[in-house]
Amino acid sequence: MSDELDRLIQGYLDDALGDDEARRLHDLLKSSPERLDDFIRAVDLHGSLSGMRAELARAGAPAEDRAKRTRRATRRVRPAPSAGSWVWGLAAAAVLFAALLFGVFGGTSEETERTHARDLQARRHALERERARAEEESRRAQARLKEIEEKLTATPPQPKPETPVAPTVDLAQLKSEKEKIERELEAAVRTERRAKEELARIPDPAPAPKETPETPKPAPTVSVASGIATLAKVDGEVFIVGSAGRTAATGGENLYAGNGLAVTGAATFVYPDGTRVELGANTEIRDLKIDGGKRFTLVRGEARAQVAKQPKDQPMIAASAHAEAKVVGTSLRLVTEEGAKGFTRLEVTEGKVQLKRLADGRTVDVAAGQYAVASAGTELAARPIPPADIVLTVAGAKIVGKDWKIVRDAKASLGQALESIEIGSEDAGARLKAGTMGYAEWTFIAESGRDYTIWIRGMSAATTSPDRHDAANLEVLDCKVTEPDGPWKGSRGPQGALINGYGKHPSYCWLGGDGDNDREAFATMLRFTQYGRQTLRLYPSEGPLRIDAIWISLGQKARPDDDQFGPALKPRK
Amino acid sequence: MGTTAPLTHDEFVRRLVAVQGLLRGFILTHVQEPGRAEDVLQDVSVILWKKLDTYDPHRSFSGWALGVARNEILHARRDTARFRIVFDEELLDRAARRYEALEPELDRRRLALRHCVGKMPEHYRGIVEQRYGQALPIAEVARRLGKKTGAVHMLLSRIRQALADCASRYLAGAPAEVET
Repeated sequence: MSDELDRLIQGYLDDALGDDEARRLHDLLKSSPERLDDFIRAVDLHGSLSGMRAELARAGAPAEDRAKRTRRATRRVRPAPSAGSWVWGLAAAAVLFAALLFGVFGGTSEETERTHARDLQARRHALERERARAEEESRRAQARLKEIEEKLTATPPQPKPETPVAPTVDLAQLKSEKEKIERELEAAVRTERRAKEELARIPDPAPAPKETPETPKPAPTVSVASGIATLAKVDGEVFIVGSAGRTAATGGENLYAGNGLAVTGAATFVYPDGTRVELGANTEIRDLKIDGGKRFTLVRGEARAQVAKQPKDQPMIAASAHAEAKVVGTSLRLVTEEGAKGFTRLEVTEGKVQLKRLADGRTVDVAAGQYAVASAGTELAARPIPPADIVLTVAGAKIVGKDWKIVRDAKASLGQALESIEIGSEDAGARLKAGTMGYAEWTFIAESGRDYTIWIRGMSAATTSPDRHDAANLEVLDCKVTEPDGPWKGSRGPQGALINGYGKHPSYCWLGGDGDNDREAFATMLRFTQYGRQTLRLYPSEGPLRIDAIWISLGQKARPDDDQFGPALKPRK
Repeated sequence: MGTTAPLTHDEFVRRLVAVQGLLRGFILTHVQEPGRAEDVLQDVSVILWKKLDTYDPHRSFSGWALGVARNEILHARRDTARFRIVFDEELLDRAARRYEALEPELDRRRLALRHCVGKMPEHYRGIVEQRYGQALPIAEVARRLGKKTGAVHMLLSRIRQALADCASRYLAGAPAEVET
């Protein structure tokens, strides 16, 4: 190997090459297969040394330093999701095991082999003791925490003066002790996990059967340590996903670091500090952790969290493929969808949460009552959460032209309704096309990118042939309008829909589209292109027709009962 | 494309463990920083597990694994904030092919290296332990040792060369010590 190539390769390994040198190395490697082989040998040695981390760290100096280093190294390595953890443990175990085998079959001295085996045995015993100690400390801390929490719950915050002041509990002292024990508990859990992880990497030095080199048994899982949360509630199918695979859950199970949950129904898990996370249907989370703060990754679906106050330097992090929500103490809802058009949406109902978009590292503070969406091609901004149900009434209507008027109507929800002129669909269509048809207009705030249903409460105002006087044309600006299937579907354009069929009902009823011929169970869907103020217009099509209210909803999928007045209106007595 | 006789769980683990060193080295040819390379290696391991049903057991496992690693590196390299791009895709492909071809030799060298690491003199061991055992950046190692980063780089270069020579001698059946 030339001196230049050697210098460049060594520089590459230590990330010490300038751009010109990197280009030169690139050209040299491309110019000759032998050079590429030399490079590969050097990099492989570099990688092998990296792979010997555990041995190198152990082989160093004093025990305390070693412990610190191991902790650092353990923290630095990102825990592999699901199968990765045990694979990792196995990889390290195999590397060490290979070292042992090499000693036996590779020609090193028997003394070296025995010394190595003794070292491993001693280390294993030390780690087992450490783990047992940490488990015991963890148990004690949890028991004491429970006692304190019971006392705190039982102790009235402000005892009335007349209450006998028998043995009072010093709240501040209890809270202080609680915080101290929580810190100790976290430390114990960390120690225990670290010990388990390292134990998993150390093979049992007992003489192995002949076939062991061919089929090494899986090492103990490294991701499973002390329980960090409890699965408090299970509804439908819920699986705990661990390094050993999926296990059906029934509720009450402990969740361990590295665990995930796959939920088809619903599930709730609770941390010892009272932080509560509810998972919705078809939701998957993974990588539950508490090291350096609570953390989990939402792969898909919906998570709602009520987060107890967290230490400032250890916020809870709810992550997804697109974003990280950093929480110190609040209530929030996180929804994520996978795929090219995937996104993560955060809604905050209490407190404040920082949302970080992983693609570019930008952050936004989302306060109570706000939401933000992290995805490709959308602005990262906190916005007020619009209501899930929007009800538009006659009171909010702006009448343009003379084709609608307000009339008194005792059967209408507010005692008055909009009534259209008497008109047939052909005339109405011609005037609509000519731009001379009047309309009633409403404006309201709604979100973009979500599917709203629209239901309109109306009735025919005709005294004869009501089924010929019972239609309106809907137009929603800056919105994709999708009508349910029917003969007129799409006839009103991409922002319009036909609302029809009130004449079959004796009084007011809700319809979401063309309800003729038993099609009334289905609603038109609205998907707004921009967040913010939206505009909806209603034109007469077959009149006279009366309109009572319009209900735009994220949740109301089924046609409301005829006597229902929408979520925001109370039934009149 | 599925196969009629996929690998068993145990067999997959056995083969994955066997190619870890190969994958780590290959990833390091394109992701310089060892810590980040470990991240990519973990990702690759998980992807291999997920894609197990696409693996044809009659083909080379290491070749398949290198192919997956190659794709993962290409994917990771798009994030230029995390990965410095030094080599182009063509060189990446060539390296993958050479890695597969050199696998038996590299396996032997890794075993020999273990012997040589055990023979390292104490003053080498300290710096290797910091750089590789603790995965510290060169600058941090230099700070701890009170040396300049250039000096630490030179020292590490010398150590790696000494270890490589030791491994070569070991494989050649010659007395293998780590020369200082």
